[in-house]
Amino acid sequence: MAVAVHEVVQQFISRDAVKGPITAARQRRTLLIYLAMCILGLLPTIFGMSPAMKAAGVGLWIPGGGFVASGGWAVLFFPATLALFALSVFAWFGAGMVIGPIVVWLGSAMLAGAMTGDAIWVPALFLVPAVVAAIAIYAYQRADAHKQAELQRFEMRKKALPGAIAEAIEVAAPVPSRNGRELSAEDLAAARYLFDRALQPVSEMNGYDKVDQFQTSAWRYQINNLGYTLASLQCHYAPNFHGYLTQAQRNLIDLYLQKKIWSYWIYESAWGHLNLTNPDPADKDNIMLTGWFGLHVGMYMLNSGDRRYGEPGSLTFRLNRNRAFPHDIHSLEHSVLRNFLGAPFCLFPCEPNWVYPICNHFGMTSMAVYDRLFGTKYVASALDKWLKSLETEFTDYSGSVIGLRSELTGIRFPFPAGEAGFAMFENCFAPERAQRMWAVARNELKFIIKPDAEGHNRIMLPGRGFDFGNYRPGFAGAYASIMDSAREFGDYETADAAQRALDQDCGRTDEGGVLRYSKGSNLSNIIAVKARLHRRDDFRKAVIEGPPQSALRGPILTGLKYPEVLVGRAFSNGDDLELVLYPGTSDGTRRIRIERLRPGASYAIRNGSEHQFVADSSGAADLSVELKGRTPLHIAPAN
Amino acid sequence: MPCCALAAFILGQVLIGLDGIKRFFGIAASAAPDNPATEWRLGTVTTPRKPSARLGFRWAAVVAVLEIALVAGGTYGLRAHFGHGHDSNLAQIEQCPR
Repeated sequence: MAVAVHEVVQQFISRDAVKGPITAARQRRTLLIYLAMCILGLLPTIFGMSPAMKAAGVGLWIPGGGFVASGGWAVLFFPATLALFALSVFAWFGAGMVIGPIVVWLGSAMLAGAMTGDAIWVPALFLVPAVVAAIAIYAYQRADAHKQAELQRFEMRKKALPGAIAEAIEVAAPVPSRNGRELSAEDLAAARYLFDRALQPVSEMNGYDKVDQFQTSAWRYQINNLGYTLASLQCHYAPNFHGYLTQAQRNLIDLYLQKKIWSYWIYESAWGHLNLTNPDPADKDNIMLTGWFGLHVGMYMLNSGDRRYGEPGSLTFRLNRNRAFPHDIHSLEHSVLRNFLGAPFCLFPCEPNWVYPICNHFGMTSMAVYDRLFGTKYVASALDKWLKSLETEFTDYSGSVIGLRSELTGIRFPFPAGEAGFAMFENCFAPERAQRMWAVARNELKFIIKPDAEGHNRIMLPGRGFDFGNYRPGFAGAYASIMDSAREFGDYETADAAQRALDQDCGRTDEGGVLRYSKGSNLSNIIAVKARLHRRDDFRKAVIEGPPQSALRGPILTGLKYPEVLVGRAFSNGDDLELVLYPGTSDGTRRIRIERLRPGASYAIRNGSEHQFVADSSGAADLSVELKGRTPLHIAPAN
Repeated sequence: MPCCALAAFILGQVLIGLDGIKRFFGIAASAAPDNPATEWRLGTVTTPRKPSARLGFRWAAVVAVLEIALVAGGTYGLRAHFGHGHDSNLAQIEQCPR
């Protein structure tokens, strides 16, 4: 979508780089609670209470501090408790285990009290506050240095932004026409990586990475990304190919509903919400499910024309024989909207208490596709408040969206979150903001684009990389994500540099007609396929437009066997059907089936020569076609 | 891109740290490893490699050593605890905290 430079620069420059009011209030509350704990911890010493109470009191100042007051060998428990506390904090944001840090902190204080003998070790009364003060000073200095660096970056961005936006607009390729879009043989080899996974029997998960079901390597993200990619493929290349393309997408949706995919929420709602009775995954929080899965199902519905998931109970999460949580696309999206409007930050948590802006972008995008499907105004009803919260509560001093914030404490974790990833989603519902974010990202990506040995530009990243899909070293995910965003904004030069880096660094392998990257996770491989097929505004169109009505009404290709017949293009202008087919195994005659023809009407099929056939009374016809390499076919009414 | 990035980041740091330790002991590859999951194909002609059993044994050994240490420490602690009870007089016991 074309935008003018002046439309997107001004808002960034005039942005107030301040802490948002809710964040400030949450941080004040956290500080007050901590101060209250410190005072409470001091009272036993002031009032000369028992040594046990004194040690427990010291334990309220810092996790494990009470063991220092216990003295003797118990002091060794202090660093051990700090390590355990760090682990519990990890469990807190990793799996929403809110009770973890509380249990460790208060539990260690009580344990220290129980272990204390006749008297406390008096120096602890000075040493522990000194340790606390040292940590506080260190944390403050680090935060301040971080803030100064961000402010400096903001100034640099302000100066560079007008030029960067102008350049991003100038280099952007035009939005491609639907006419003539088709998958090449290499694209089809990449797409086969998706079909191999999606067409296996539902519940089998061969070819997926299995590490954990809480974080980024979880099966649900692999399934969702397969769904997004296949839906986008359908939208832009083959809206009139149903058959195994729609079957693959429905398989993924059915797979997602299996308990093993969403059961993480049973645990998270228990130890995060203290809810032991109602683990409904689409009720409170959990935008990593409602937002991601809602977008997945919505994109399938929009781009295939299949409306089955609007039926009540069509998306039922079954816990056991006696208990199930019946949902459908309506209840999923209603949950997203209800949580947006009810959450203090408007943006709402994934794991209990942790708000990730990126997942909230999935949530807003899922409402955009829902609005397109059902004519609702969910995005309009939440977007202003949502964007205001994003800018005031979730934007750092440099103007970047932060990685995550604790809803309970207001604490932000200083994790870098790239502009490029956010920009692609915002292109669906806030295109001016998206253009600005992409321009910022692109301007900063320039520093990592360098010529390779042959003089072609490629991306060069330092270090060994990190693959979020399996927590192993590697750059496949980073290259693929950059390529995906660059393509969305029409910057094919940057995308090609990322593709080259992928091919050179990530173990590109072409075996048996399937293209994959052996050094990447399954998730990274899926994103690499998505990026390869992506052209300008493809994601936006697959979310807020979908295929034209002519395609949704016209004849469809079905009844193919995978991988015997591969489909490079299937598009209808209303009455006709344009196909480009490839043999997936060997050249030869293959059966195909055409449906949604006019019953009893005569059609001609052209491929160099012309043959006529008549659709049966249900509007279907079975045909034999000779496939040899790229085989274009055109089916049209015989008159 | 995906959600929960910080958790993954920290887990990544832990794994990279472990990887560093493994490399120190000469049992890790230096480059990004091949991912056997990506080898799988529908109607498979290639069989993904199974994870190395040797690595499994190494981890099992580490876990076993830790378990033995924990059990030994716990047993020693219990022995010391009950020993302390037998040696103490009533006055000392009354002064013990709850």
